[in-house]
Amino acid sequence: MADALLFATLNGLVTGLLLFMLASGVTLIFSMMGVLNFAHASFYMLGAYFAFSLSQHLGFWPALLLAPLLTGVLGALVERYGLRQVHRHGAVAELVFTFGLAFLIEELVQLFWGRATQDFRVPALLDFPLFTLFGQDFPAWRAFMLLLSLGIFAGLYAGLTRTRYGLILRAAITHPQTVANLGHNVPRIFMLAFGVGTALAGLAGVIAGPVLGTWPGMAASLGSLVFVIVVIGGLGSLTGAFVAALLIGLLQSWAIASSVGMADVLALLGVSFPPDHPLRDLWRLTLPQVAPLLPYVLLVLMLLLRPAGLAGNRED
Amino acid sequence: MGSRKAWAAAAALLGALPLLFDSVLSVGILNQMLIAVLFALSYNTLLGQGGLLSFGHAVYFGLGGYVAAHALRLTELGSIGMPLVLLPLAGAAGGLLAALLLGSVSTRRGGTAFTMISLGLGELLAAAALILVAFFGGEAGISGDRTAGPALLGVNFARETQVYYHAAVWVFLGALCLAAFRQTPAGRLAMAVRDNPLRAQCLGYSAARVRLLCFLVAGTFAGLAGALFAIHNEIITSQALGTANAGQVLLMCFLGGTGYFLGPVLGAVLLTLCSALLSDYTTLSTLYLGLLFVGCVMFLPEGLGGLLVQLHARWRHGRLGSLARPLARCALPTAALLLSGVLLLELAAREGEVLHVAGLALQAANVWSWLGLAGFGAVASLLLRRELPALQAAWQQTGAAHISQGRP
Amino acid sequence: MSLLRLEQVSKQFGRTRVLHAVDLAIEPGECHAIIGPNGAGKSTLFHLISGLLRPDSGQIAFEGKPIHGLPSEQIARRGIARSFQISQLFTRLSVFENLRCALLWPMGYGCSLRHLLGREKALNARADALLDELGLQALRDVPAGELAYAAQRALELGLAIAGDARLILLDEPVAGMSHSEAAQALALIRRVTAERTLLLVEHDMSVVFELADRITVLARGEVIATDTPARIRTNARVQEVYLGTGAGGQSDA
Repeated sequence: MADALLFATLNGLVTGLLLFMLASGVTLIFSMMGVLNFAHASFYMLGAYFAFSLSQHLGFWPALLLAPLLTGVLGALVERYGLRQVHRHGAVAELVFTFGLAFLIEELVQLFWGRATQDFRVPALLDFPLFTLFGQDFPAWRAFMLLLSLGIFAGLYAGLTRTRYGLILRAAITHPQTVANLGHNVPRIFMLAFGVGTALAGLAGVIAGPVLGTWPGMAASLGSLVFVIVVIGGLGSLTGAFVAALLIGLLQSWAIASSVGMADVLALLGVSFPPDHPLRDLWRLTLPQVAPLLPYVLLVLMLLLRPAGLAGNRED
Repeated sequence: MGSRKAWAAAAALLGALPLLFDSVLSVGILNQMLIAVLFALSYNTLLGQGGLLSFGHAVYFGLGGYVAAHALRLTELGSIGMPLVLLPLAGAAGGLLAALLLGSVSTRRGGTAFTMISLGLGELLAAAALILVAFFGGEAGISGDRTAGPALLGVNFARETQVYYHAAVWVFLGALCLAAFRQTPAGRLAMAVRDNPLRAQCLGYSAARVRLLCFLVAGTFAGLAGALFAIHNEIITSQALGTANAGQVLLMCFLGGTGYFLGPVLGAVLLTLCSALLSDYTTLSTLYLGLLFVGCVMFLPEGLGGLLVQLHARWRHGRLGSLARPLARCALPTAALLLSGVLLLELAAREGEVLHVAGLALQAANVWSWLGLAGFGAVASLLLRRELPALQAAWQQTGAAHISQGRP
Repeated sequence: MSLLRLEQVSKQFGRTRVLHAVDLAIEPGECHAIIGPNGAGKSTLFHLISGLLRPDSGQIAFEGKPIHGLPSEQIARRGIARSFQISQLFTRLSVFENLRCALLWPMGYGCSLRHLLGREKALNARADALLDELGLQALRDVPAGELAYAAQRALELGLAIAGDARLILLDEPVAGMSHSEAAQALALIRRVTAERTLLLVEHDMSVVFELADRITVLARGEVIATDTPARIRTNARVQEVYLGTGAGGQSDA
């Protein structure tokens, strides 16, 4: 039991941090431009695919660097030539635009790489079990994911709080007009921030691709989860998104590792149902089965109990 | 009254269509079109009228469909004897009930919060549908036989045209109801809340209540459309309530224009036609639809309907003539640009195949095919860039003239 | 009995004290102006009365019944209407539709699903009469979002007076207008609010002294004085905090 819990916790942390890598970009872009970027997970997917293709020619490590850069440049271009154009048509049009973009990227990925899962593998250098506990291996790659994402946050945090650019960026989030009046080019700041956000998503894709699979559905599989996190954390709050991402990562991981089901609960209560009961599916549910549902249940609960989110103070 | 004539004309058109296109295949497409029209109209009640962008509207469509499919199945088994013509009512009730349950949670706030909740609920239901096999039927879905019910006046719905006319009556009634809803105080207040919830509240209206009402109406008619879908296909699976279906209806409304009652109708008809016809010629039909969608959001925020309205206004003031010349000069480069784009994509999609266009044999393996097409597209786009400003100027000019004429 | 009575009303935003122990009584039929320098808490006071904000402490009573803590739509239904400093219109609806929407509650339609607006003759006649009264008949079918500034302000006023509200709050009705526009707006306000109780926030002193029966001076969230215009002009404390040295200044501080 203890070993399962330990591994579930470690895996949950890895997933949570990965989710936060995406959620941080969404949050950053939302608080700055007021746009929820539906296509954010699509950039995550592009990162994985770019890295896969690049690694076949250049090897994995250059790809780890180049793929996020490429994704970021693409993101910046999307902001410059797409989003900025749509901005004039209002918030709904912006949201719908990013939704359409997500759809389009998925189609393009299928066009260029096909529908099958790509054979994107963990580099040989890190393809070994880091430690073995209670007879279970913990892959070195997961530890690398953990370290890299922690490093990125430290860097992002320091960049936002300590550097001149970070200062301007934070000011532009809350007071874009004032920052513009001070002579800064706010549209360019937005474009850069969009680029950085999508590059982060791309990086998340590169490190997640080998373990979670590089396939055309990978964006959709994470995309709505990222939104759930952003909403649960409170729209626009980085801290909230961090807590929510870890919470959901851990919750799902624990739920999958557990073997508790409704049947156990019912047995504990001494209740039994005939096997052909119309609601039989409900009585047979197990926790691993409902694990994918948990984030959404949490979302609905959150909205009922605390509509502003964990750390949110935004009212609209 | 003008609108009465328009409705009569619409009814006549609905009656005549299967006589004009009478093959089984085309009646099937017409049927899909009808269902899409009602679904899109119900969605636009939320989006265009209430200003509520939902990514979970397929839930109500799907649940309405499931209610109808279960009724079909039970009738087939002989447990109940529900005549087919009443099934849409059951579907509508299902949609209403679901909207009542989920809407009371999701319509408390508008704007982005509403959108996010609609997405969350949509995903939740879609995921739950795969787990709760007893109601949703798992991967296989729920199917039934529409001819099993008691026949009415000798009509047993074995033929596609009978299904069509049945759907046409319901869609016509549904559209009539949704049009009437726009004229009721509640429907008009939905527009007011869309424009300014704060002001609506200070006038004594609860924005949340108005939103909920709008949501209930939209959910009911989505359920009705879902029931028609289940009757037409005699099966419904969890795909019907997934986000892909929700995205599809969003696309229809944006394509046609959310600001007009007829916009979604136009969008639904076009999109159904496109998906039905395009898939015969290309494997990339969804990609083209995606491109169309993004292009529409970027360049035609009012949709095709908005474009038509603008053109009509210019025509009424006799100003269409001055647009003809710049339009004609743009037409050729635009067509060339589109052609090169389509050929590039098709080339990418067909590895190893040879694409024969106008006596040229294009091949994915041949670099010159790529370069030639790219060059062709580049020249076309350069030409278009040169001609486009004249068209834009003429468009602005004719538009301004129409505005100043309309407002003394 | 006062129509509206505020007792010891306080409001803080975080650590900033915006209103502190405000007492105010509005008598039926009067035109009561609230003046004060920027940041005195005038707009917050309006938000508290109309229910957009809730007071931290204190009581607000309308016609003898407490209304603080009620949602804004409930307060509006009890008979308090308001205008906004920045026009809050139904931008995509026509001028006529804007006014008709404002009339739905007072005329008993509410969120009805049973009526068709085109057939309700009394409702449409009243909306048209209101258009005439506001001088907006020529702009009847123009979307509110496309109106020029002065016309937007007239419509904003129209939305506030459309119902039978017994108390009307006007938040800077002539702000941003030229002299001639302000004079026209003033005449309009006089005409359409005759016989009604008016609570007014305004920076333009000429408007205030011309319209108001009584004036309350607010500074740094506290009531400094409530009196007739003549006595406010000569009140030493008011001159000190607000009007500077010369009494009856024409512009705001």
